[in-house]
Amino acid sequence: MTLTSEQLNKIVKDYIKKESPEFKDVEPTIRDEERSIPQEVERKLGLVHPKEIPAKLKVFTFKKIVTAEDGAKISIVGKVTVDAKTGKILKSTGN
Amino acid sequence: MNEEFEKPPKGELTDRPVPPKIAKAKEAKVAAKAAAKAAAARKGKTVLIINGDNDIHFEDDQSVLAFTSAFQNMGDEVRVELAKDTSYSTWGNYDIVVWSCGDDYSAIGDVNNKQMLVDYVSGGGCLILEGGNIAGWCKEFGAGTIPNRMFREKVLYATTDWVYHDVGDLKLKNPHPIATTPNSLPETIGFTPTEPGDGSGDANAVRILPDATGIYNWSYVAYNGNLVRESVSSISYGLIACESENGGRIVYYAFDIDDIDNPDIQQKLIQNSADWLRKTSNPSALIISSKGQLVEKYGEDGFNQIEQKINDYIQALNNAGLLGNLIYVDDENCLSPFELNPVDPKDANKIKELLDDLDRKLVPSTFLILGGHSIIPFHIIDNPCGNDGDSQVYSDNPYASRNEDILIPERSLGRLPDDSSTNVTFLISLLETITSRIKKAKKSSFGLSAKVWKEASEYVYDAIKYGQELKLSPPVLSNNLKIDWINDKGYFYFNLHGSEETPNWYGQENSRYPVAFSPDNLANTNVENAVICTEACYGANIIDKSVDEAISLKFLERKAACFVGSTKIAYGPSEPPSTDADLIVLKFYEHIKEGLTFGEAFIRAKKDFADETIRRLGYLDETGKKTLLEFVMFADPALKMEETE
Repeated sequence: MTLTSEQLNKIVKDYIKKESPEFKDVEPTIRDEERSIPQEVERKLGLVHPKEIPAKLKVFTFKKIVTAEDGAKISIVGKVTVDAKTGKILKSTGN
Repeated sequence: MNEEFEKPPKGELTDRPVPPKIAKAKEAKVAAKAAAKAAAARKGKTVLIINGDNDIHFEDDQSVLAFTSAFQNMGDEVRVELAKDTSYSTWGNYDIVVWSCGDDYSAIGDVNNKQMLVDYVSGGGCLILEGGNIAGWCKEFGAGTIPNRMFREKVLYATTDWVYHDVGDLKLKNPHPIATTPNSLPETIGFTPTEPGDGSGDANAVRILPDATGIYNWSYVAYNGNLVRESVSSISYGLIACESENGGRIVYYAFDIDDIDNPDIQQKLIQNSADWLRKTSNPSALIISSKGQLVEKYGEDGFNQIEQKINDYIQALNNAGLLGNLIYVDDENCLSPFELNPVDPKDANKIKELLDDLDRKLVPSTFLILGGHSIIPFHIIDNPCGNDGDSQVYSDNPYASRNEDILIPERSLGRLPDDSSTNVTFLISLLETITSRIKKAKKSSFGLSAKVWKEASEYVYDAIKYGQELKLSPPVLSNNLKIDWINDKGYFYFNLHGSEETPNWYGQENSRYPVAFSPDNLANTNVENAVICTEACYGANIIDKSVDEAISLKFLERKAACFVGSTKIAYGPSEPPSTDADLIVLKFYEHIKEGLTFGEAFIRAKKDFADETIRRLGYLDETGKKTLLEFVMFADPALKMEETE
């Protein structure tokens, strides 16, 4: 059974609160991930049978501007990729 | 050989039948005119043709005749030996060795033959290997014993996937000098097996390793009358070329040359192959810049000073056995000898097209862009993860790519940037730095990471850690960083925040972002010949920056040999396994430690990055694509790091 948007939101927000608390008050933007390997990339890597991928992925992006100690504005971004069906976190990355 | 193997894997075949093939009479045209023209220009070349077509069951052994006449028509001295009589000790007397199997498979039938061919290519030899029946054993035997595996990996560059024999015509798949230089070959080359479907193995449709280039694949690939799936047939090749790490080159015809319908095309293909193979003996470096932009920025006097230093650099390349070619993209005098026209130096797409043409004509081994964005512009590409604040990404990937797919470049390419000032001092100092061809640096390292990324950074830093532990910020700050930590170090690794507003890089602990590193930290240090990788956002952003406004430029001013960083926001995990910027830096350093040149290490880092990302996630995600595009290298790609104690 596919999770609802609310359930997915909760899973990802709970995760981000724990792993990247600086984003705990940030409302994420959500978009479907383009799940593709360009054909030329397949060729260059000699790929034929890419690993099976989840049917539907969503990427939650948390973004905020912070001020460094010298006054500079730094854009910080956290991205969490999640399997929309199971709620499994597949990747978490940030800057 | 077909019947010796099991059926191909389920899923590779479709239920669609092979389309009817129009029988083509083999044309009797001889390429006398083209060959005579080539002959005049190519005196004194020697070729050994090894006749390995010994199978008495197949009355189809015209290959050696085709090779012999092609080379003789080019003016080459040709010697023909039987495979059983050839002596490896004499191969060095020839500039090209051709092992012609026709539809036989003598090259793989004897362990000594395999070993000779492996040694020859590994030792830098130039080989044409011809045989429609050679790759067929790859799946069964090519992964077994060491000689078999070495032959498959070092000579055939084939995978252990199923190899098909039932094929259509040769179809051009990827641009390559062998398809264009000196003869322009057609997109479709008519090919007719001696007896179609007789299983005698006149052709192979073979899948290849990433290092090789598949030049022609097949108009169709089939098994038992049914077409193979497009996803498989599109990457199953007939004409393959590869250059080994030590300069050896191989052209592999996975077909019987005399089954190409048109003898004129047979000759032209052999000519082009020989032309490409022979260019190995003179590896060359292509230096790209813009005369107009340099003169506009630095004036005539400044330009003359720069050009003098470029000439010194080219002389140093020549002394090192590398032929340097300087091309101003907007200068007709530079381009007319190659029958090419100048392009607008502000148009990155036009410069890429010109670079593609020059690559085909000169086949350089490395590419150096001389100047920053105001001289030769970065490509400006839509950000694959467009909601992170960067609308576009600055990238050199298109220049480094042989085709329109720019995520995984193939060219060994670096950039020597200038700064924003109109004073030539900085660019001249960089040219002087690369003119010194020996880059010895101490086996010592410095690493600095934001505290929040400690675990992830330690994993990457381990690749270059010599003695000194990874420093964390905080507590390490720009104003308490000891000069001894960075002085005389060979390897630098930074995993810090960066900003578009300032030149500084920042640490992080909770919501605190202190200044961890600034250009001032390099003021009185010796970082000569060092290699630096940074994951800081905008770490390689040099557009409109002076030396004091970019740590990257400051490192180069201090005579560092190589700087790798990101032009835009870069990503990474907070803990292992490495992904995104962590992964590309890790892979780059792994290859630097293997002793590869900066350019080769950078290409391989991107290839490995894509491979590992896809293996782990099953696809190339948006931050992965951005990482591949935004990481650039400021270095002479032909140089390499030499460690000293």
